[in-house]
Amino acid sequence: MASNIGRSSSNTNKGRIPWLKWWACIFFVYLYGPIAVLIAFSFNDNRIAQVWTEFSTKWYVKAFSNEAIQNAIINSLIVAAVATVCATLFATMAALILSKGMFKGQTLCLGIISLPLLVPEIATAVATLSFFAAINFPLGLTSIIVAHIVFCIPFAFMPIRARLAGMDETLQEAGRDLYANDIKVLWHIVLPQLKPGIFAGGILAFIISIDDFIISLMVAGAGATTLPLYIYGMIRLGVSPEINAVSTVLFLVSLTLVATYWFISKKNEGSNYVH
Amino acid sequence: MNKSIPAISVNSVVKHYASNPPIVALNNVTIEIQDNEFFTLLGPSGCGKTTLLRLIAGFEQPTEGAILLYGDHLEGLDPNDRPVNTVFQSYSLFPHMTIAENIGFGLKMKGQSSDQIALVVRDMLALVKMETFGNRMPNQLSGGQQQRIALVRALAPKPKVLLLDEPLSALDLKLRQAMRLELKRLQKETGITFVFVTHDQEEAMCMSDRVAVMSQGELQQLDSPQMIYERPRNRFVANFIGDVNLIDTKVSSENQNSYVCSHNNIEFSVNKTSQHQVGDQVTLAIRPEKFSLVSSAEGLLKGTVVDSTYMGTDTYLTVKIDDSTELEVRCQNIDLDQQLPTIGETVGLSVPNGAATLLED
Repeated sequence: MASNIGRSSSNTNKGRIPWLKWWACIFFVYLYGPIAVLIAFSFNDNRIAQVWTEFSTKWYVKAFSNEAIQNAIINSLIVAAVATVCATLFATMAALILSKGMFKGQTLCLGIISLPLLVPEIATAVATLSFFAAINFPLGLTSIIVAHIVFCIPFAFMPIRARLAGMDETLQEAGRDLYANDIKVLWHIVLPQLKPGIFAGGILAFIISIDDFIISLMVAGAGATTLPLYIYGMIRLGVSPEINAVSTVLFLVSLTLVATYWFISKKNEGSNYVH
Repeated sequence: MNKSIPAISVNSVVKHYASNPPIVALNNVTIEIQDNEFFTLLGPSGCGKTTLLRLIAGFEQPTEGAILLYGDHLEGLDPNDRPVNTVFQSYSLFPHMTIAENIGFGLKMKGQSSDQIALVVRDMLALVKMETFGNRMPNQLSGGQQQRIALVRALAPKPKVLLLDEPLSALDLKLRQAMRLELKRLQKETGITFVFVTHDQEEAMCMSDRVAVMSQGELQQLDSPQMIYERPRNRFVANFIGDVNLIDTKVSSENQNSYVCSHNNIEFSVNKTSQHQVGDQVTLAIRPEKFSLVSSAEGLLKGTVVDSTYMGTDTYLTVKIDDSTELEVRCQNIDLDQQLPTIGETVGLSVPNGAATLLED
């Protein structure tokens, strides 16, 4: 009977496929089960990671007093921060130029900027390494930063371009009409309007950079260990509860950033425009 | 400013858009807009009126011809270097700025001090009676309020000419009517030349000092609203503004200032508003309210009422005067006891001298 009501009413799908919610539950367990286990065991007192004894936060204390982990975190933050700033800057400039629609080969340019999203990461990683070797670029933190800037650009580019595409063109005309030259229009009208897009692009770039593994592994020099590389190194010596703790923190940081990104995008959808 | 120099001279302006096939948006348009005038560009969509406005504002460049502002060539000047401001159809208020910042934007870009800007912003808000709105954001305002702010934002830098691109089209009817009066008042108070673009003939009629009727990239007629209505130059203008009866006639004789044109032995005397030869086929335009009903024995025209529609202020009658000609006649409903002819009745119609206009085409 409930499904009958659902069918007759055009604006609700409730109860239409009753077993769908069970599928959804299974899907969510499949998706988040491993992470839940990871988080649970990070609070496990037992030395052997897979045997539960009692609740404790000692692995967090231990992990964050470990100097190697501290260094890895600092390295990751440096790489992500620099890569985010540079990639966002480049992405903003690219989006602005492409929005003008002034030159030939624009579609091609767009394709080239977005292509790294589709190229297998291992291919990019090998290519980057060969390139660095060919030009004798020393491997270290700098090489990681350079590589990260490159693959973060398309991620930063997408939300900025979307925001720019949704922008009312006549606002720029209004600015020019009111005695603002091109630079002033960019500064007083376009960039303030673009801010949420730039911010979202930056967050995306940061997330992508901070948990990148394959490319970092290839181009990292001695002493330039980022957090994902360090975690991988530890795991080869056996799963320690410390790894659980560090991974949980990394997960929560990513989650926070993604949530922020989501809220910004959501806010962009309407409130900033005049209707 | 020298009052004898036109505010804007549009000299033989041609505008092509390179597309396939190429579009001729403006074809050799010449218009002079006088100082302190409320000037309207009127025409259906695609007639080139908005293109002309954008050429004056500087958003686009003419393919040929020149535009002068108080005698100075505008060629090569960017929009930000032209002392003209635009009120956009979609208002285009800057969503990230307060109302006060929006209004002050032009002055800020011109490098005025913040004290001066604050004074002007206060005056501008007072001009549209929105003194308390300075700190609000544009999306907190209603459509009518946004419209007013868009207007004073463009007025704040004291432009030599204000361009208005269908600014009332997004408002509902009541608000639109109120804004018409407001616009006219603002024009008189500021003494700034207004160039107003619209497709709404009523708007054009009630606000303008002069109206330029445009169609297909060409100027059709430039005159006062009264002359546009009473003496349309051609079929397009006659049909576009108000309702009209078009009567096919032949020029039967010619005097010094007038022609006699006949239609089935009915003779109309019309002013020589365009040049024709005796024997030419010409079209006369007569507005429906010009006729008066008389008994069928008198009157210039005689015909049968085939339709009658009561419209409140008027009754619209359709009178068939011969097999090929039906005339629309409008009778004002002055009192309830008025005897109006019924369908099928034969009536006479009289036409006052000068009511018929000779069209060029």
